[in-house]
Amino acid sequence: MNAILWKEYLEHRLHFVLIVAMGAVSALALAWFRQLDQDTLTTLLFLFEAPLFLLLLSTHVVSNEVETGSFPFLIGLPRSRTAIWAAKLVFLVLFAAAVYGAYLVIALLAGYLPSPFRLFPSEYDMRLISPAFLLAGFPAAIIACGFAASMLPTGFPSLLGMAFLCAVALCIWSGAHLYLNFALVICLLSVSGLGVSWLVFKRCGLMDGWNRLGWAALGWGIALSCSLGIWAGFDALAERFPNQTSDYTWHFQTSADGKYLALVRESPSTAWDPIQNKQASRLILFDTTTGRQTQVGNRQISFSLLSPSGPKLYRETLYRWPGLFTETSRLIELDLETGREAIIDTDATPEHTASDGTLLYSRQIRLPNGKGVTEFCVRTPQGTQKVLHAMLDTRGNGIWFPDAGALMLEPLGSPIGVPLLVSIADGTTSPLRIPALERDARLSFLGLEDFPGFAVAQISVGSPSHQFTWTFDADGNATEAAWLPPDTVIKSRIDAHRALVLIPEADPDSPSDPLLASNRWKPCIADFQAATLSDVPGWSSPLDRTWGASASRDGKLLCGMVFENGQNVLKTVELATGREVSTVPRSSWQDEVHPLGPSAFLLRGGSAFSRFDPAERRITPIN
Amino acid sequence: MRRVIRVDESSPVPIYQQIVEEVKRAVLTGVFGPDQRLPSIRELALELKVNPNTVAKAYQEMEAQRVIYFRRGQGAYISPRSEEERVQEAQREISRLFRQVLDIAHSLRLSRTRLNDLFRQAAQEHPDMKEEKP
Amino acid sequence: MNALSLTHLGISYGSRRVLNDISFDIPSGQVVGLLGRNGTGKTTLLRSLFGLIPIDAGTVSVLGRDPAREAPAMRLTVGFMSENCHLYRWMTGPQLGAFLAPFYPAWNAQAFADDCRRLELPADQPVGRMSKGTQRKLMLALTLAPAPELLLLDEPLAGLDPVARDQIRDTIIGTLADRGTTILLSSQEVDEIAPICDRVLILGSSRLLLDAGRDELAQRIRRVFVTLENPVGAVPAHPNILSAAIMGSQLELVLREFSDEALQALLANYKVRDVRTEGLSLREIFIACAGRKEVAS
Repeated sequence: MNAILWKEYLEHRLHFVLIVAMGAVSALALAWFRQLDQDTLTTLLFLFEAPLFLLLLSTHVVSNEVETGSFPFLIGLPRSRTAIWAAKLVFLVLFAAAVYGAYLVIALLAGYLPSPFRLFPSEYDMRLISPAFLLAGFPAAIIACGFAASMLPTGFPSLLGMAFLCAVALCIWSGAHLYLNFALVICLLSVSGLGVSWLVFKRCGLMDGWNRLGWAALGWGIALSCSLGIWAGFDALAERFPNQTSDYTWHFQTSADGKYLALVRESPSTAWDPIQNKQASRLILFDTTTGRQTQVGNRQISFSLLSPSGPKLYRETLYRWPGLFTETSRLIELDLETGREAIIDTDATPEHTASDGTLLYSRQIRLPNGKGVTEFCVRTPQGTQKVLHAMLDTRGNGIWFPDAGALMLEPLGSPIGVPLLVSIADGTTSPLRIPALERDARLSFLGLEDFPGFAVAQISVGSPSHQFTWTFDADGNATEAAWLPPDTVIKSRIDAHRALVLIPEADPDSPSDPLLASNRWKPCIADFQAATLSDVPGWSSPLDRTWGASASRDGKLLCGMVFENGQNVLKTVELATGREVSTVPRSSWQDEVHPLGPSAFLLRGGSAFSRFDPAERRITPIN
Repeated sequence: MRRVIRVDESSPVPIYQQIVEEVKRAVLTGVFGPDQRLPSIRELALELKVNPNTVAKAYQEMEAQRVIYFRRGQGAYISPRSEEERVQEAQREISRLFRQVLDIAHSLRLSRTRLNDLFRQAAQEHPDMKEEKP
Repeated sequence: MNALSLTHLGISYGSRRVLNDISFDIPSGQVVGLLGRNGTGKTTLLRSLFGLIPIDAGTVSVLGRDPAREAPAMRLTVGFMSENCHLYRWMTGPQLGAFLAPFYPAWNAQAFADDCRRLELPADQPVGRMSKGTQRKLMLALTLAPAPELLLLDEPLAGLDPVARDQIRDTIIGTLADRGTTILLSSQEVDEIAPICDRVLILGSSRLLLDAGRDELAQRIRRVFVTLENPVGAVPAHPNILSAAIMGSQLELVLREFSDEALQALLANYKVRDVRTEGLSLREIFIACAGRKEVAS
């Protein structure tokens, strides 16, 4: 064993030097072109170069012996064949460890400690495989693949053939939007490849001829098909049975005319899945009238924003490629009617859209002095772009006043966010002075769509925290809406200055803090201009849950889940008159009610969405 | 020992026997003296390009015929012979040669009388054997 | 116990039967020459004895072991030298010695160094740049270094210049003298290996044509020159006559089993004037045996 290891070392020590040199040259080249950063270097060295070289070397190990004619000598040694193959395999493992070690040193010298969890593209779903197995299994699988290929004395040609078949298969499968369990398929391929090679090697021995090439190609083809089949099966299984520790997280958005529902499904971050920094998510678009669904790309979506007017979807995409590319986000505008995609900007995050379709998005940039700042851009529906010169050194949630050209931001990174008013025209900022903002108050903005000229925000203070409502205008003047009781929930806008709010009702059965324990709500109409609160005529039943009610977008209808006459019903009334439009019994008591389009509603029960047309009393499932 | 002993691979006579005969002839003709050391089995095998077993067999045979003797740890030596043995050996050799001559004479249909005449004539012309010694 | 024992050995390549019903035993210390025309399976036989080729029929025992099952243990005391050089082309002689030494507990580094010196092997030339003769000599030195009890040599002299052939032959003789190794070697240089062999096996197309001791063979198969009174036209065929040539009244016969009685019987019908017998070289014996279409041992 040692003798063979020593011999292999002597034979391949030049290869080792070359491989390490290549790694060093790559690192230097990256530094020269100022592209050197942790992600690029790590993926280049560990995911691209090392496996490639190891694969090539391991194809070399056996086939070279046969080609240079020393194979009979090796076989004639007083050792069993398994001992000889085992020695070669051990050498490959040691060689791989040495290469990885050398590359680690290069990465360290370059100043980066490679984080193992960033070695893999986040796009690839690793649900079923543990990371330790991946980290050890991936190089092992690479070696096994190559060793297997070299067991067939044809070696390199069969490897090329297999690579070609793989590429073809991947093209076909990726078109079907299958998420690839990369490591699993590599491991399967290598195991089956090893098995095939052993069989062909045993059967054909050292005979030359086309029969061996034929058997090899056939065997590889079968191994590939079986591996792909098993992998697809695993993937489908994983889809069906997600990890039980937590379910998917759903985000949804509807277009203004109610025609489109955008669903973003985020995979839960689980113990099996530390590889990904961001959860894998898929964006599925539904046509609410026809129920037709389109999966928008198979790239990772981290944000999507439907334009309130016009059929446009803005989404942010994150890529991670194995190889030279690192994480990038692109802002893509999808025309829902025509289906055409256009890239608006790179490294951009959509923030808000105005009712006229103006899009505000931001980008993180690095200033020459090393400071990271946020740059804001505005894109009008006509397609013109205006870049803000306002730079802030933190990013914040905020409210946008497109008419006033102002942005109110709550900067992150401080215990109490001091809101800033930013002028989009010239980028000047001024802090907002909010009276009664106490030390432990948390300011959270509830940006309402298209409240022209002012925004409504809620500040929570005290412990246990209660929320108080404030209004802000574009000049930064803040006024407390004291006419609204604490813990008012602002549901949806009715018109330019009125909103549907839910007032908590005291629960007579709860003795301590009646407000806190209450789960009963009364829908009211808040007029922010007149600063008045009025009941909804004709509505007497308390709502059982806060989310069980909504006003339609045209401000005419109120729909909510109530418990009436011994059953759950979906009750719809006219806001102005209180006239009952319809009452529909509903067995599901989990429904959330959201506005959909001008006069319809979106019902949500968990991950099931339905369209509710109250006038027709029709509920259509969407997904 | 250089090129004194020759063996003929194509002869029907086994090689070991040829070696024995060659050594005996060399002893007879005086090329090998008494108590002269013979090459070791290894050396002779290498020189003749034959199997050492063959040489060993020849040496065994020669020892059995008392042509050679072994000195412990030192090898094989030619046995010294008494004058009587030498004369007997010589006579045997001459008789063998006579037989060969007779075979040829018979095949050429020469008579014994003619043979005797030829012998006398050859003896008279021979430089060393001209004079009859008692 | 015999060093080598084959019983009804058969080997096939696919449907083609290369060796059929081969049986012989080789006692320890014997040197056996394996002769045969090209393609009769000499290399196949030797490789199968070393465990490189599977056996399809019969049993084999090499130093008491089955080469198919116990090849690694068997190879510690059995040496094999193939006709082609399969050594690592980038290694030098000493490197190969260092590489092989750990595999054999009985590896004698001093003997290997002595052999290399005696065979004038260069110390720092990689095998790839050696001449064929040097390669062959190196292979022999490597094969002999672990002091094997049995040697299987496949065409050790093939394609070499006369000096190299002498050196190889001398090395083999030296090994025989020092250790009494059992040797089974195949060669087409019949004249050069004949004096070394105790015994001769001649392979025909898949069968053994001849298995006899060298001395016995020399006595059995002889050439007879017969001078007849009258010329004859032809000699009738006889199972004892391997070949016959006529020139006027001169007959030249090669007999398979020579004895005076047999000769008398053959020439009973002729008026014989003179008879002279002669031995044949092993090369001539081989041609007489293996050149015939119809064979019987």
